[in-house]
Amino acid sequence: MKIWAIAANTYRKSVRNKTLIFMFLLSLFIIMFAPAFSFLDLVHATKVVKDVGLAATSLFGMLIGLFLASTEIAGEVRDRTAHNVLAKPVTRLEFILGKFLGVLLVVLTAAGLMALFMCVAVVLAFRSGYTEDGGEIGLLRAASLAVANGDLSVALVRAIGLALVELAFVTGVASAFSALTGSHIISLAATALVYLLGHMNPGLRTIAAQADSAPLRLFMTGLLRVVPNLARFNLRDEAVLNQMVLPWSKFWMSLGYGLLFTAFALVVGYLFFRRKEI
Amino acid sequence: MDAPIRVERLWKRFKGPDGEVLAVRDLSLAVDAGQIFGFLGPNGAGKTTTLNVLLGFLRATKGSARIFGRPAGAIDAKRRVGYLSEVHTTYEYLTPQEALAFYGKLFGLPAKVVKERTGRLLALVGLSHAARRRVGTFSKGMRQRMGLAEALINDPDLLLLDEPTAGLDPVGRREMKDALLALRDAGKTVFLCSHLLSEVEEVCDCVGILYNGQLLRMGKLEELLTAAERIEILAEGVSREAAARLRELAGSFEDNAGIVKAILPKERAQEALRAAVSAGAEILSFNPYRESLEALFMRLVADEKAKGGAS
Repeated sequence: MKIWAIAANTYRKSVRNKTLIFMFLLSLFIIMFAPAFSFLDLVHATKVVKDVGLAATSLFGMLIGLFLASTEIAGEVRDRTAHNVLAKPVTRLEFILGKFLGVLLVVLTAAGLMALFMCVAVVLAFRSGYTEDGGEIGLLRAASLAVANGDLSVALVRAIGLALVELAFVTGVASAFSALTGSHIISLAATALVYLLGHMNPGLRTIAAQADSAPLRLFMTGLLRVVPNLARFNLRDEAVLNQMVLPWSKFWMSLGYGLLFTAFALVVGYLFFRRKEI
Repeated sequence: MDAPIRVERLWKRFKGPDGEVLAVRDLSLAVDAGQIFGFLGPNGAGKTTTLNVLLGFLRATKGSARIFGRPAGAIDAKRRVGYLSEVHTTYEYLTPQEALAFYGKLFGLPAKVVKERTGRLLALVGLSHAARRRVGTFSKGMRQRMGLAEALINDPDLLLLDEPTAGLDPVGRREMKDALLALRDAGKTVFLCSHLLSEVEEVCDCVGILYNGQLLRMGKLEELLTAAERIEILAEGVSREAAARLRELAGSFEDNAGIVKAILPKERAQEALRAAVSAGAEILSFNPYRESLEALFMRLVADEKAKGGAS
């Protein structure tokens, strides 16, 4: 109840954020602009839309989560609105979870809408390159044909699902750093670093394996234990080509892996915030 | 029954870039139920730090702070507490109704109770007309009154108020004082941090005077103001010789158009009275001297500064 009240209030506050609105509209513009590539043949047009749409959803969703979650807790402590909440019978864990869930709800809403617009753009791209009996087809007919043709597929849904899990992780890490450091700048920078290292994870593994220096190998191994492999959440190629290479078991494992790391980040953030003087 | 507030040998030290700062030193105090306790001190005396320790925002370096017998910051203690900060900050995009509904949920209050209290509290703080306006459009005084309504949403047994009249106009101040007296009459305990001495003197039953992190004096207001055991003599037609004698004996001596006012230690009062009467002066009054809170405060601070200078 209390967590939900804090989350709902955070959601209400965040959706008013002008930067968020700008980033959201920009992403929609990019996604809806993608069908302009329909001068390519039909097959390539829908691929481009899916590729651009998924990339925009991931990137702008990440930026929205990173920006909002980094500023939320640190900003409330700085403005002392957190003091009004924490003077009530609210634990610091409830406060952090409420803030995280509120931002996550905004991120998922924004990313969900972007994904929805991408699907609409795929249908539009499909429709513009397809004729039946020498004439244009309707939107619903185009949608059903796009599904039958594999342009809107389970592979795409899986890609969107794991992209959302990655956004939850970024939001969790940024919330944790925001609580831990009390500075949105440091939180932004630290979360961005984790994000980059997470995406560089496969490359870093190779470096760690080939490193001659024992201390460097030790450092890299330790780092790779803390930073998750975010490349696991990227199923863009599968979605674009409509080929489900990743077995379902590994898909669920990736999903659990992302949620576990998100929970881990929040627990670490809480352990620091619990004793923090505000 | 546990005292609403009990602080024992509390120390709070901050580490800063310029070294350590002792914000509170060996502070002990107890606030009984049903009273307005004025916690006085100049800016930087350690009042807000003490309040922040009581609310669990800061940790004590040494000693303990308890609310209703529970450690500072405990959830079950906070259920019975209302808090108003010096500069009240709230979510600017909410209306008073929405803000009170939000804070009501944090106390787990049923929506029906919150709705009923919202109307009553907004009327109490004079914001009924602005119930649907965003708090972001409020003046400083309106925000402070909104803060009081928020602090009262859970019908608290203990109110912790940090400079509650800051930013209020004279009418607002009067209304705030009346509200505090009404709360005390309803059996609530009020812990009032302030440096506005005249206001505190009007409403408080007990006071603690804090300076430089140390509690200089604490007790019932009346007892503190008459504790110095001094006598005030008002006399008229005092001869020059008698006036010189009075001036010699008195700690404070004023002659306003022939009316002499002398404040003396109790042990010298009889001698001064005899001197004045034998010189033919008319004694207008001979009473225990009641110091103003401001005079007491200034005297204690001056003594403390002198001690600091001497050591």
